[in-house]
Amino acid sequence: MEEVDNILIHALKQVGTEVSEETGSIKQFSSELIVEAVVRCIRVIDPGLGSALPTSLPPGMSARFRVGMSLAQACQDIGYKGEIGYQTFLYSNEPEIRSLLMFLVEKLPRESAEASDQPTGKSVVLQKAIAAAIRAQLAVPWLPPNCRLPLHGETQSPGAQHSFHVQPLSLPHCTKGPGKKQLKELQDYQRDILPPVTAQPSHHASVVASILEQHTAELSAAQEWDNEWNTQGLLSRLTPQEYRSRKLARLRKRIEEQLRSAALPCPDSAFGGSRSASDLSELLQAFRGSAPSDHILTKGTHFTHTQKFTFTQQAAAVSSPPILSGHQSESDMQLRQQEEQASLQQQLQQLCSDVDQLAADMKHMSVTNAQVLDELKQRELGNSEKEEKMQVKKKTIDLLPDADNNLPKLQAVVEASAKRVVHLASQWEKHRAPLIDEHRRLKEICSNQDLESSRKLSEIKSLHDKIRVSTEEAKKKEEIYKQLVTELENLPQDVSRSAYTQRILEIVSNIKKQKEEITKILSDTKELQKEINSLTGKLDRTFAVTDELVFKDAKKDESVRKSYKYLAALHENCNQLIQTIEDTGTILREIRDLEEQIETENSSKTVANLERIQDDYKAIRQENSALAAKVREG
Amino acid sequence: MRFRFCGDLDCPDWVLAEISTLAKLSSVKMKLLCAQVLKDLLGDGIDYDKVTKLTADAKFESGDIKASVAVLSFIFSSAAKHDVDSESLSSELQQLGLPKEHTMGLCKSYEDKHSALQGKLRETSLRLGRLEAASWRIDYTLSSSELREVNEPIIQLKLQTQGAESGSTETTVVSVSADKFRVLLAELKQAQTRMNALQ
Amino acid sequence: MMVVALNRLPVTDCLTLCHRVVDGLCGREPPRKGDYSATWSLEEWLQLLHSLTALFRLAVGNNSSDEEVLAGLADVGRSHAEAVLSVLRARREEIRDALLDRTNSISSATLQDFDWQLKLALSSDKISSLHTPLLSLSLDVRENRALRSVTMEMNREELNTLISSLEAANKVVLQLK
Repeated sequence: MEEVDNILIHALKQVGTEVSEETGSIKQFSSELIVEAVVRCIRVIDPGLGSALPTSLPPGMSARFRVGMSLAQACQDIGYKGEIGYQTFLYSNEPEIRSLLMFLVEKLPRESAEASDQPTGKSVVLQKAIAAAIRAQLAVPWLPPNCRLPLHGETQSPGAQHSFHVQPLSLPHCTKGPGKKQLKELQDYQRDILPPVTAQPSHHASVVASILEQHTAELSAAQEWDNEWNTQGLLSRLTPQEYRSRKLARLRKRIEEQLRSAALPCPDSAFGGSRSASDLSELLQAFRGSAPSDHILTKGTHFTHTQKFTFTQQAAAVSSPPILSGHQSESDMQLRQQEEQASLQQQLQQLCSDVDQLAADMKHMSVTNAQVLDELKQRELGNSEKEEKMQVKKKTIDLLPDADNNLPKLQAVVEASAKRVVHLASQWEKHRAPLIDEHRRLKEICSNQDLESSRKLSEIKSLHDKIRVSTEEAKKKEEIYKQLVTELENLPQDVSRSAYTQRILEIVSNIKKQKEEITKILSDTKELQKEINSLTGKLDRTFAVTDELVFKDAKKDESVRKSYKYLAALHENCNQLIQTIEDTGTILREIRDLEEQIETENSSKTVANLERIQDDYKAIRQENSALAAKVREG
Repeated sequence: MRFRFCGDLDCPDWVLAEISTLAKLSSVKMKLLCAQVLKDLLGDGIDYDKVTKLTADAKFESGDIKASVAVLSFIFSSAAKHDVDSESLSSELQQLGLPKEHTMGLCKSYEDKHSALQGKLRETSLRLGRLEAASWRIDYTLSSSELREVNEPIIQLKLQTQGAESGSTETTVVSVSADKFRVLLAELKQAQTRMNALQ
Repeated sequence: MMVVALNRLPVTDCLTLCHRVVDGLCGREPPRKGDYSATWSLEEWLQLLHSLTALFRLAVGNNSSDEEVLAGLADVGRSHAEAVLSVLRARREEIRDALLDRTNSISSATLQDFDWQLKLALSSDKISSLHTPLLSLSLDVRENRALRSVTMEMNREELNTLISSLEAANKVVLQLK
């Protein structure tokens, strides 16, 4: 029973009943404790039913009675088959309570029990941790600032507040440009003059921030590069440097094209646009500084320059008259001077515009010049071609007069050249065949290598993928492990599973032993019964035979008749004796049963309970009379 | 007595008083009134004419109407705040003296709108600023007065945020260098993974 | 050009001074007048500082070759000019970064720093169990030389929108590198 009680008490504690450490068995449960345990169990099993029940007994006797009634009703609702009523709770007896509690504990939902044992998920762990932290912080008493220990620093003193402020740092072996050769001057600087990182920022507080940010910047750059290289770079089959420079070149080309397409239409559209356009093309030229210059581009800038000139000219013409009119109200002298100045200015303007005009003309001329030069070159080219043709024709004409002589000669020459051509062709064939073979062979090798390399590339890619997947998996597993460890730490240590299982196994083996014994006894009993039966049969048969024999003789002989009578009497008496023995057995059994019953009645504290019932009865009567008195008063 | 729908505290006296006012209504009218109050709590507005009509049978004065709307609002919002299920609410209201038919009607309406009500409360909980929209543009700097050849991208970021106090929208336009931008994105992603790990 | 005044300093001190000038250019602590008050008057000091800074800026900004720099330092002693040149060589990357930073801060508002904080809101006056993670993001924006702090609080959805928006931008940035 001890074991059963321990298990029950443990289960009740899990439900939330406050069972004190000293209470080791159901026998020690008080009525209050029983009520609390039962109500808590019911609340877990059926929250709707349990929420209406109080966990403690009220002081008033009649209220207690009602609580007992409702509890009993609730237990029956759940499905308790045993005998139950208010007396079960108020005047408890051990076996009844034990069977009730066992029933309730068995009814406790399995899932919740499992849920409390199984991994409960991160968020629950986190919430528990938060609750624990808040509880701990609340438990720390507030102290005036002067009395604070470092222990309180976290929660009570405001602490130094620094915003996250970053300053550029200079670190040796900074990986800004990977694979770059370190300059000697840089090494000297880093060795001799560069202050340590902690002395570099102006505020000490930003050291950590700066280092962290620099690290993140470099790390994320490296990651991005890695990612790009794995997805695109590897497939391009270039070295990283080549890949970078090619990408840069592509980018430049794209930007250039976009700028050019944006800059060219502008001069035609508006004056306002022309200026910015020319600036843009200048910039474009500067931007292209390192790249080889392009003809179309220079022409573009050229054009915009001329546009700019015409624009400034017009603007000047518009702005001159107001200057004149502004000074008319002055004295003659001034007027004259003004006029002179104005005329001079006009002259200057005229000259300026002339210059501009001339410059524009010059530009125009130079453009025309270039065009003319181009034309000239083309003409010259045409000339030389025509000259060649002319020479061929001249030769033919020279040969014409002596045609008869020259014809066979020419034929011979033609034949010789034909032969030479054939010879050369055969020679070419001879050379060509091995070369073609070689070419084919090389091509094959090339394609093989291509295949090989693409295979390797895909292999590398799959390896990369695998690495990523494995690292992720490892991370996940580590996290799960950590979580499980924390959960394990948080688990209550008092449940020793192995002890319980061992105990259960022992009990099972005990039960087995008992069962064996019982079967043995049963078989013994059966054996005995059989023996008795056979003996009875034997006796009956013997008696019948004897009876017959003696009865036969009894007709002839008087003494034998007497003995027959004795025999009948003996048989009768023996039967009676057997009957009595059997009766004694039944009575003994009955006595034993009754004794047991007495024992159980004794164990259920009947006398004490009766006394309590009497007391409670008195209490109720008192309450009733008090109430009646009140009613009368009221 | 402590009530779960009051956050394990005693029920306020005015609620207790007005529950008896509610009992004067018929249970059908009561249910319709509940629907109106719930509509109001969910932000769809309340139709006062309808409320007046509903309460006309019980000969409510304007004070009674206001009190009943107030008490229903309190019961619904407080129960949703403390995540009380409708059965517990029903038993607690019956303990407070609301007739059983009334309680059933009220709890039925409450059960239907329970999650919506909690969502609304969650949504209207205190927030210190929100992000409404983010837009970006990328510029490529070719040259500057400081450096003849720059050739670096720069990101223009426009963030529309809602202030904590006023609820007015504030627009911040800021340019971010490429390095800073990368760090910002990396950090935000880290924050995101942390946030996802919380659930 | 007041760089001639460098001649009054021994070569090793000149090297240190130039490095400190570059430090100042890169946003760290510039050299202090007090350390050199025996050598130069205040006016000379200011002019020297100004011209040295301009020299470094121009040399890096225009990507000048060593010869061009040396030509600018023609009236300074040979060893002093070498010292200035070595400083320039060693710190070219750093100065370029600083100039890049200046270029970027030409914009009316630039992001100086940012900081974030992940919070788990447990409960509020509206609802007793809230359990909503919130991210506070604070941006220090430099606007017309004054720092302004922009703070926002984002929930999961808002953060997701912001990140996906920034991701899209980052894709474009990656093409430009």
